[in-house]
Amino acid sequence: MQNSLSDKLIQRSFLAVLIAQAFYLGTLVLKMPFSACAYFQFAGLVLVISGGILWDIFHRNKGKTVGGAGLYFRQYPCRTFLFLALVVLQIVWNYGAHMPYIKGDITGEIMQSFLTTDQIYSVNPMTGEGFLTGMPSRLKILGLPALYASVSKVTGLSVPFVCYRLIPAVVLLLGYLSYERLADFFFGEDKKAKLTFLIFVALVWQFGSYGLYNDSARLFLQGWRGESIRAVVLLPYALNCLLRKKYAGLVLTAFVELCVVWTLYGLGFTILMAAVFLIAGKVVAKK
Amino acid sequence: MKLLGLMQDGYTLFVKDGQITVLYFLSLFLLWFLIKDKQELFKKYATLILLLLLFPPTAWLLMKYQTTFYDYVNLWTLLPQTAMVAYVLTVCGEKLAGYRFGKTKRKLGEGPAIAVLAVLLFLCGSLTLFAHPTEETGRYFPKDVEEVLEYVDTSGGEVYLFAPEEVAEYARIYDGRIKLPFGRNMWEAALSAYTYDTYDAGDGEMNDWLNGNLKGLSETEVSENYFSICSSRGFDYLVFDKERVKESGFSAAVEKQSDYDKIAETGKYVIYKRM
Repeated sequence: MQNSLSDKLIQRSFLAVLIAQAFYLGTLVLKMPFSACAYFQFAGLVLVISGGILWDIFHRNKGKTVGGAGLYFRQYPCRTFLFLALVVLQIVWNYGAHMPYIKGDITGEIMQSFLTTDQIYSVNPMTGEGFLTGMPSRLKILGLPALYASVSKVTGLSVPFVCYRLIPAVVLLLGYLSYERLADFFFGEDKKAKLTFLIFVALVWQFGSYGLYNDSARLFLQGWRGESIRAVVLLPYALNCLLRKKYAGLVLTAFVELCVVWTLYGLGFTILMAAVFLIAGKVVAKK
Repeated sequence: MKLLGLMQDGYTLFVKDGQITVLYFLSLFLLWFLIKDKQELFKKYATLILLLLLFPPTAWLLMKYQTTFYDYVNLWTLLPQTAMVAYVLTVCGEKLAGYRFGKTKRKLGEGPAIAVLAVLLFLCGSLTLFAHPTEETGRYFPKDVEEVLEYVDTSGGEVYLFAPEEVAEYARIYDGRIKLPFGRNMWEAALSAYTYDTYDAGDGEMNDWLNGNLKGLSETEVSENYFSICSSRGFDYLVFDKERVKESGFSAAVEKQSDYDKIAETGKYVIYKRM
């Protein structure tokens, strides 16, 4: 089986989110301080990175790693440059030159609450005072804000920078990796077509951010939110897994969705996409 | 009828300011009827999910599936719009690049073909982001708001700030040690999903008073009363819009009260601190 660099980066990012979620839930249930959660999550991240490197070292002869920007650059320098320039421009323009759009979202407040109180949801994030009646458990169990707050705590970076600049940029890059996988499925070894596809993805995102509910508007305006991650990273990657019949990757994606967005008891859009795909597959088979 | 109304509202939200979705429809048409292609499964998934989203009974089922916490418009995330449009444009770009002009028989070339399709894409979309303030380039918070928050001293621990909504909504992102009497869910209904806590009519009136929206009452008397309440509730900082402080009734109340001293004035706000 061929392991692409994009696959590795995406799957290890997903694994890191799952491990972070497990530590977060453990801390929540055991009512431990938030700092414990932060350091456990950091340890988990180190574990994923070092484990991944060790895995690559021990398996370097068993699978061929393909991909890498260098290869594209040598063969198609103009297209590669254009694509990379668009990505850099999007990061600088959308995350560096715009104010964050915080309507309908309190991730920043949740992060500050965790960091200030060193407790998980001991206060109402919107006021800083104790809850009168509490908050819904379905939202409490989502570990994304805790993961971001952990990044802030361990690195010392400010909450606004982590939440509104760093994380959306990471999500943007993961989104391109997901679409690179789709490009690889559609065009195989045709690197020129793959690059053209990615350039058009960049342009669709850039020109298509006119409404809040478009993928790219979600990404550029509120790239830190679970819904944005689902729209630009998880669902394209799930589509790629379904097209390639890589069901382990699909299950991993479904679990990550469960960690970042409130779903119907785990039945998120990834599962729904798989079901629709199954029906579409039957239609293809009958033809 | 309610279902159709919800669907119509959701679809309008999705497409109202641009037409990339039209390119999706066009892409599907091209894939079905003009482009000989091997991506059968992708094409059929893209078609089926579109039909499921547009057909009211299936849309109703999907809405039930995604729980009542999300609106119909959120379902459109399932549409592989970016992948479909980018894929068809790539395929069309290759064909367009090989197109020969008139008598010269010169090919259009790949660069111009991509440029033509990029222009088409641009015409269906927009260069500007949805509702995104650009005048505050590179900032996390509006300048006026940050100026106020810089005066709130949290070096000694938590402080209580009572400020207009546009200041309060950024205060706790700015510093977690700033506490607020009312959360953003008071004026931003969607955020009520994050807590079971609610506010009573009295809280709403107090917030209206601060924001200058409490009308029809004697301003001086009401303001004196609210200053007293603010003090008894332990609010450390009060922030008012500059224009509000200039109102005669309100300014008379400010003169009469003795709990708060003016500590600063910014371009838009006046800041008082409890003595």
